[in-house]
Amino acid sequence: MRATLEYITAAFILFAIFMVILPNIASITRNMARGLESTSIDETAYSTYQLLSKSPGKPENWGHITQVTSTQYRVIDPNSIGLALKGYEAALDPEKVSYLVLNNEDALLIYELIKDLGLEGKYIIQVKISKIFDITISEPDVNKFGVSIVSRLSGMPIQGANVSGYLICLNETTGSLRSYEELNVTNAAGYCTLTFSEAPQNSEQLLIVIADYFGLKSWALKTSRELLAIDGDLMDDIAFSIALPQTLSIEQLSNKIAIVTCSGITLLDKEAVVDQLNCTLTIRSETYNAIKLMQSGIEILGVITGVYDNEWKLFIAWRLPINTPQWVIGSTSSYSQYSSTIRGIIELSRCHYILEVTLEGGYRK
Amino acid sequence: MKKRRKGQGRITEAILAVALLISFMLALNFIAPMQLHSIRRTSYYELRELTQSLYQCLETTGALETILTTQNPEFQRQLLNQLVTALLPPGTYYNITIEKVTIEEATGIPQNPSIILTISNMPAEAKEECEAATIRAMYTPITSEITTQQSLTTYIIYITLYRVTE
Repeated sequence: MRATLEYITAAFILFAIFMVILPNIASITRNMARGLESTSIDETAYSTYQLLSKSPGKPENWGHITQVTSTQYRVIDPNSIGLALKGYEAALDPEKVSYLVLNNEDALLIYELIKDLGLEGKYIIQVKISKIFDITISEPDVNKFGVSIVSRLSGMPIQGANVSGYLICLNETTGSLRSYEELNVTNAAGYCTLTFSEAPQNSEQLLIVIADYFGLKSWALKTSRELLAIDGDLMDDIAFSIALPQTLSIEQLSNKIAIVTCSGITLLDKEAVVDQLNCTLTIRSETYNAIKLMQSGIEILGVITGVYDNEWKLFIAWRLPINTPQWVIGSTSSYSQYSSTIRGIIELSRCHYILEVTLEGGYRK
Repeated sequence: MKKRRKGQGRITEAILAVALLISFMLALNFIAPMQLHSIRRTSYYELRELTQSLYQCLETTGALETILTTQNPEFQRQLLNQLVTALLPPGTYYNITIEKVTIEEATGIPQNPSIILTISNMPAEAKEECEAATIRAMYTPITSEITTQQSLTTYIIYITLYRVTE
């Protein structure tokens, strides 16, 4: 009888122990699976990076503008994602990046990535394009600017970078633009100053700084006041189109435009093609220089002057985003258990950027 | 009396064995996720992409041309060191070797290899704990000399990046 009781007690204890272990067995198995999953996430992140940076997508010129009829233009939509410039490795197509920036809310990128890589529902994908150098501009004195350059990859100050500063000043009486140029080289702390002694004081200004370190280029802007940003786009090789705010009439704008590039500034006095109905202004340039600059795909932004609130103002229209473009696919509020990041240096409009692809997986909703 | 003691002993043994098993499983359960959460995972694939990016930057920006046309070997080393250090994330080690070779037009085979430049920031003791990615590329500068015997001077670049394994 006692032996039976002992067996029953032993069986009961074993059963109780088994019940305690049961949830832990599940979590151990989950951890083992997670280990295997983390290896595959590295491979998938690498494939995603390769697809975005090395493939032009389909069609190869998606994001570009094509002429449908003599008066109608259309942007070519992609069938498959890939941001590379056709025929180049490690260079992104600015038209494709612009397309994605303009269609940021569009589910297209999400859908295409998922479709091509089979990532549907498995991972959160983050795609980020950031400048290769962090350029900080300070103004210790009037028309004297301090420029500090740090590598975003290593976090180290950049010594020996050639720094070009272009200061665009607005004549607030006539609305005309004038540009000034200064050059310097950064010291061991990655710092240098740019002094524009000839530039007028207290005028509305825009400073563009371009840093060149062994051919690696990056840029930054500083404005005296908050600039009025308007949408701008490169229609084709010879036209820069600006969509105007409804509050501003065409008559209030001067037809002087500055095309700012990695190699300098071109001030143009050109014929303005006005579309009153769509409220757009297109500056067509016939000069060789402007065509050459635009064809080489290095333009960063356009600056135009106009009267706003009874005052002459600078308006800025950019083709590439001033801020870091970032796309996140999937819910960021999810709880991520593992992630993998692939980074590389890429060229975009003759400047250098870091392309970063992060995949996060094992999330709980 | 003896039988009862024997039975109690078995129960105690069983409990001890299972307790041992549980503690092992629980320890495993705590350690495994800690490894995954505490360190940002840096994969071999990222190292591979950085190696390729670094070579492409050196080549396409003209930095390699500038460095190779510099006459002073010490200055060459200093320039390359400075550039590479600026472009790599902290904790990434490198070893770069540039070899000069001549290619005979008739055979097309690289001959007379001579190492002209080697830079490294790799501590010798860390080598065994690192994972590595290597790229080997042939680079011919625009200003490369063609000799009278119809041979071309070119360079073979070896880039290896290392990162301490987690």
